[in-house]
Amino acid sequence: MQRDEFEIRALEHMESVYRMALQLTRHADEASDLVQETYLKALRASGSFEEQGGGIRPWLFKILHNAFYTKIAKARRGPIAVEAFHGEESSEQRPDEPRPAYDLGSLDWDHVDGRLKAAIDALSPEYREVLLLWGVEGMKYREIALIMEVPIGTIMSRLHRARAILAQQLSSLAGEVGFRPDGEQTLADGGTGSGDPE
Amino acid sequence: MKLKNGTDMESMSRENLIQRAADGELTTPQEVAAFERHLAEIPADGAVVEDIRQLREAVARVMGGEVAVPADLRERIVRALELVEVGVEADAVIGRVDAAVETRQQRRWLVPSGFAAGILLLVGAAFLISLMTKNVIDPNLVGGTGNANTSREIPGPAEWLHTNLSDASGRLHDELGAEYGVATSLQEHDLNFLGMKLDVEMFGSFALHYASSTEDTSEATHWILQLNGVEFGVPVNEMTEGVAYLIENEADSPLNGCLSWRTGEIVHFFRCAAGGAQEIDQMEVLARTLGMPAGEVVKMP
Repeated sequence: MQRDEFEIRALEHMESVYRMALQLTRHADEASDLVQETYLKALRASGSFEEQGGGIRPWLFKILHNAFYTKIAKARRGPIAVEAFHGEESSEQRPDEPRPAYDLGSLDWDHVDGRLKAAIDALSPEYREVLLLWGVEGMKYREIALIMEVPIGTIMSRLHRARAILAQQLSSLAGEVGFRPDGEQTLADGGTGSGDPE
Repeated sequence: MKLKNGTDMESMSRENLIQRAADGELTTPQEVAAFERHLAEIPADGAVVEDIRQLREAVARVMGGEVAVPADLRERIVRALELVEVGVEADAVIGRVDAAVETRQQRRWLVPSGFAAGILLLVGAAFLISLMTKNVIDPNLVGGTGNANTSREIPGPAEWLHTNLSDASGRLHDELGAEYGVATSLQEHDLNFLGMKLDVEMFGSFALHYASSTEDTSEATHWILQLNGVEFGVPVNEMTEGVAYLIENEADSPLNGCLSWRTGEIVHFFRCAAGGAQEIDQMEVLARTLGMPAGEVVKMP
């Protein structure tokens, strides 16, 4: 891929790449440097880029992901597993574990956006990254798995776990709010919801 | 049937099915049919799917709004990509980015010691002694001495380059203050600025506040460097801060083709070699001295 073509195709996604970089680094300057590094590495590797569906964007995110964790490893003067960096325990939860009891249907979403953002920010980075790739970037399991270089099952597990954490926090909010504009019954009022079939 | 961890297999596959349905990941007609059969058995799970979809929409709404991308980021990236195209390896450019970040965080350019000043001037004189026959400042600049012909801004990648050269020059100043051997090594060789992989035949930098530089009070923002009896005027004002100029003096000026800029109280000069790569051993010396990686030589854009 020639540079001109690369620029056209890749820079189109700069805002979403920067958004993710900002989520990973949580620092504007570091995010800018990470994005620049991502594009330089991408240009260098553009000859080997193969369209796998979804265009160039998942590939850019993959390079971004790797660049970020490479920096982390370098900063710690040695290789480090993603899980170790995040202090994750070995027990990755499977997507098939029972759902937590929650009832998001009872929520008035206008009241929860702030709490939801705080809850997402509080997620550990590997959960947050999966959640954002899924929720914000609208990516498929396959694309997220490509980016993070883990099996699709792991992506489903992390996504499931991230959603469960959020649902738990939002359910408690529903209990606090205790009402819904359309007058439907909520958890606080004794509503059962549909969350847990177990 | 129970799995090792006690999970019921039927439950496992049901949860998997619901999650993939909610995420739009059912890819075959068989999977879609299986999910429809499941909903017929447990209609309440339709609400679970809806919950997940609502959550996805909420995540997109809350986290996916416009983000304030730094105004200069696109330009930075395009400049860096241009450098890669002209032959600078991406790793080297990335290395410069890292160096720039590090320098931003730990900038300490000016070594406040007489020893450093003396060494600095020795180095500077070695680079410029044969070149300083005329003033080189654009007469159009505030404080210019008035006898140069033209100067102009260097567009494009040069701006990026001189920023990084300034960073490297700052490190050089630090090293000069710390170790005399560094200075002597540099004096023995043409400066071919390896860090930027530029084929540079001359490079020098001067700190204005060192003893040999004096402020010309007749012109408010004008400093005079005295090099081997030749005065060299430097305008110091906001107009010239961080702006690179290509020196185009009278036809026989040895300074023609030099790029000059000032950052703070340090004035920088360099000129690309007219021909070919320099000796590799010189590159290695500079790479060691400046702590920069060796690589291919490219011409100044």
